[in-house]
Amino acid sequence: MVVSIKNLRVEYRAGGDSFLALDVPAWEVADGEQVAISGPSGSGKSTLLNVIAGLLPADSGSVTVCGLELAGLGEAERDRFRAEHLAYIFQTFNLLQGYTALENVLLGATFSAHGPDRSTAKALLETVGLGHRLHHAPAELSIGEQQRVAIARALVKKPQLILADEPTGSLDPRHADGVVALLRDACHEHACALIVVSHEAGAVSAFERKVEFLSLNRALAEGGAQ
Amino acid sequence: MSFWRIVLKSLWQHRLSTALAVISIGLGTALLVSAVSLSEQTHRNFTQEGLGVDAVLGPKGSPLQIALNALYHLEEMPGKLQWTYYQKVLKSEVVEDGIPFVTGHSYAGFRVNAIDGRFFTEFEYLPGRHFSVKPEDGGQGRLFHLREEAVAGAEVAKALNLRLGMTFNPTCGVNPGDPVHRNNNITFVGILAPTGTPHDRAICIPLKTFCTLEGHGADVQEMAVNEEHREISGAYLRIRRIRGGALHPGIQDLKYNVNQSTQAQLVIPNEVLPRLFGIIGWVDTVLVGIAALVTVLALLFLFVALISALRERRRDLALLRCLGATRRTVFGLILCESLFIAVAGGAAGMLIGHGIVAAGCEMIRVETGLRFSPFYISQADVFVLPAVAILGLLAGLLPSVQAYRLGVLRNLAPIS
Amino acid sequence: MVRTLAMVGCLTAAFAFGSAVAWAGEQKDRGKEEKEHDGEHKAAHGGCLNAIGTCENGHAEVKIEGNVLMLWFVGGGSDTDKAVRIPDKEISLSVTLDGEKEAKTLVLKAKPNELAEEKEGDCSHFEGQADWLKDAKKFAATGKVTFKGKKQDLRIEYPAGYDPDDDKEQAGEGHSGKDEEKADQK
Repeated sequence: MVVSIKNLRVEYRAGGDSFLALDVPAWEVADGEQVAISGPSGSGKSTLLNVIAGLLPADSGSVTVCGLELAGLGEAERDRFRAEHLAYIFQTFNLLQGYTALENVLLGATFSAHGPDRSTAKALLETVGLGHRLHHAPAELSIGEQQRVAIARALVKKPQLILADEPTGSLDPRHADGVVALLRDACHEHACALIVVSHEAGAVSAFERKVEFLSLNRALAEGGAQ
Repeated sequence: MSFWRIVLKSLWQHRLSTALAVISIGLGTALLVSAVSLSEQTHRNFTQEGLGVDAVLGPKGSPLQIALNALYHLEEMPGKLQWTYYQKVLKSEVVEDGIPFVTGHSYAGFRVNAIDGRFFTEFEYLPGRHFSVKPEDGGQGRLFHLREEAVAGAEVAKALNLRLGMTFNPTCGVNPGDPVHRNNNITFVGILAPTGTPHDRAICIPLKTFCTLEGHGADVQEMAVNEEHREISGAYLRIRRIRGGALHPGIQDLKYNVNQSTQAQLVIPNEVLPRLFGIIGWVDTVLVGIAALVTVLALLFLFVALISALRERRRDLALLRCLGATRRTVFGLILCESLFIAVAGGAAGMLIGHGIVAAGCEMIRVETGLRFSPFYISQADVFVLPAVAILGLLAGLLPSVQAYRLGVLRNLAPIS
Repeated sequence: MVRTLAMVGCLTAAFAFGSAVAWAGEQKDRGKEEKEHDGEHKAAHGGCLNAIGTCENGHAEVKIEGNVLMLWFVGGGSDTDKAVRIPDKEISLSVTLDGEKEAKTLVLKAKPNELAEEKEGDCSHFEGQADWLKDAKKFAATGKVTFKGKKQDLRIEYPAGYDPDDDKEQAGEGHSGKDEEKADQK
């Protein structure tokens, strides 16, 4: 399994109050599997992705990703874990503005052990249809092109798992379908698992395995997550 | 995409603030380097082995004035010295030899000194260095033999575009408006090779020519033939050496004895000039202090710039963390940026500082004849880069710590 | 808050740095001045200074080279490099070597400084010669001179020099070195 979760609980604390954001008794994602998680905004989907990415420590329970139990890892180890095994695609793409498309892709593998490979990065940008825009800055790319650069960046280090949080949230429907298809094809080609979180029905419809978050997160039923 | 590439990218991304920081640090270090270099070279020039003179015998008056006039052709001698007294001093067992001279005349702004001809052949203006008129050394012509002949220093020849054979009439005095001795038409027969000393800015005529300049009264003219009436401005004295080349210790007794006289003063340049610098040394210290403060303030500007830039870069740094950069990596990124800016500013400042010295050198050389070098390595050159680097690291420390403590999720603003 | 504190701290450091540099320069200069103007007067010939009456009145600088005792009369205070001429043509000193009870007489004759146009009867420099001076490491001597127009006592402590303030300190401690010496000389 690329992801294995048992009795995961995450609480948010603010000003003396706390509320339960996540309560997932059990959940797994197999190697190379592609999963779409849907649910209303504020249901904790991004929180789940952040826990899987090691960006947010769980309060209790076990989260094993790519064979590593995240609870036992320190901050630096979780950084390295992300550098080696995992890639994250955001709704707002989060490309670095001072870098070209090619440099943004290279950054995806800069912190991994094997480092960035220029030819791989170029090939990936060719694959996503941006072979002619290598040296363009994000400001010179359309929204759809920026998201494709983000996809190429995610793939450049050959991760075992890609997390995509609302990858089509900023795209119009015409481009959204194309991006999802591109992402799925790329993950299939590189044999890496994919977990997509989206509240848009169109984005998740093509996935074979769909998860309704309301059924996954018991905290919602208990009235925790807001 | 290496770590250093990311550092350079970041500096380029904020190139305006980077450039401003580099320029301000550069200006501060330039001031520091140039102030220290000029100060050290001034001190060296004014205290270097008394310019070959062990002691100056002069009339009663200010020792500093005597030293400045005799060695640097500045100021005026406070009076005249009896030739007979000079002869008495020459008889002292500690005095090996003396070269008498008369100052007080000028031409076209340059001092005209009447001096014993042995000055050129026996006097070492720096250890082991004699005056020369040889073309291979940069000189021309020959030394004077006759009374109506003169030899010019290298700076004089350059400034007045002198040619051998040209004539001049010296002014009786060193101030504008002083009367000119007419009809003497003294001929330049030689131009000395550059020495890098104030002697480059002087014109020399034979000692007895002073007495025969037209316009001088009969009492002065008699000095040429009558030693009892002869007066000079002073004399360079060469003191006997003892083992190891040190000056004969009797020089202090000689100085005491002469200085009790009502008519003469013995000045040891290596005692007087360092004392001058001891008095005005605080001026250098304040200048250097101001330059150091400017540099520190520039580094403070760097600190503020980094802190401000960090606010804009939180998202980028959080993204780098998300891509796998550790806290230490982002800490190092900011710190290295700060270090890079500081070192770049320091290096630029050193170059500019030496440029300022080069410009100052030319002005000083023209005005005083003293040679300064833009390539002189001062204490500032040794310490400024390491000091600026350390201060740069300090300036970047707080921003780096803030980057280290950056919250990834908070700055990536998840939406669900 | 942190940023504000940091900025204030850096400004303070910069100010302190500049002040320290300026202060160091001043201290260096003050140290020099203090060295030149404190109670330690310099002997122009490297001998020992013996106050005539008081330090401000004048000094007799004494130096021994071989079997020759040289004496220069110089000014008081910091004017120890200025000669004071006296009309005496010779000076008779009663010298008591350290460890001996009997005093010896040493006559110093005027040795005019020709470079200062001195002559006998208008001279600041005196010399005397005796074989026993060769081995004289420490002695006390007294005499009389006409100094600045007045007959004054001359007291020499070689090689330490004589400062009447030392006598006052010793008197304050309950014994008078001066009285003991007078008794010895008698």
